[in-house]
Amino acid sequence: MKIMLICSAGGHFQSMLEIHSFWETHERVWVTFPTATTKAALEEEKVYWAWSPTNRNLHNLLRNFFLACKVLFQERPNLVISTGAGVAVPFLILAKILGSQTVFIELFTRVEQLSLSARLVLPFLDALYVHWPQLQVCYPRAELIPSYLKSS
Amino acid sequence: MILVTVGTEQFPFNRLMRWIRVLIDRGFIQEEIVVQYGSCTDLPAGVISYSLLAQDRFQELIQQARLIVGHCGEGTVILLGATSTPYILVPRSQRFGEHVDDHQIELAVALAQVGVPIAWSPGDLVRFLALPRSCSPVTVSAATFSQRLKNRFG
Repeated sequence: MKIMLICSAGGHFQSMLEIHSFWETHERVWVTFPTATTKAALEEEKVYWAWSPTNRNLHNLLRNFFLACKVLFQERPNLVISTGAGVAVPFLILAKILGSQTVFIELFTRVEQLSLSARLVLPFLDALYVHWPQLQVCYPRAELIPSYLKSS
Repeated sequence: MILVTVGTEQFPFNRLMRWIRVLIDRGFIQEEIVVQYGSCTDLPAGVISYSLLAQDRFQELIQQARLIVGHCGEGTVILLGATSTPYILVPRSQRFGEHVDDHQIELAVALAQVGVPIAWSPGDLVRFLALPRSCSPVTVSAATFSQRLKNRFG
């Protein structure tokens, strides 16, 4: 199976690294932002660098939309998976239309409301995962990730 | 040494920087402070500051720090789940242009309920600085979740 991994830098990227045991056994391509951390971590990986910032930024949304067209036609992934945020929106929508399976993993930091990115791509997803029961209750389509909290 | 980190977010978190400045000015902080300030534009005087640290240097500082002050973002929460260094979290607020919405405040409320030190004001920061707490708040079972993805998608 060929996987496309899409995420912003920072926490979104860290969160994708957390689930490495899922993606590391598959053929894969990355789409993320170029920062010192991502560049160092993905030195040996195939990466397409996307445009940032994407927060309410129409110009970069367009540029990432054209990038999504190009990359998806070239790579034809079976599964497109994202931990957010905005950069994933054009990729997930187009991927679904082109017949890939699509997955969005909401960050642990989302407790009561889905991110705008998740709400935009919701109709185009095969699976949406969230970390908090109170969030899952609001979006019955969402599936709960078995994480837990402990304090010491 | 106290390490202050506010993530790679494109919005500044100057409010936290001002809180730190007030604490330095009033003598509540007298030790060395290292700040990874991201997009902040209003830094306190007398601190050692970096816009963004390389990952290995950042890890070194986490080991050396007596205490970490962080924003309530994903990267910071993952990091704190993996270290035993005491820490304090300060949520970004949409009202002050620190993020696109208030999800960090929602997270801070939820984490406060399980005993994570959250500073809602400079006064809270003073209190936690005086009595740092080691707390392992978050254990996200990433391995279990990866296995679940494998079972479903191959």
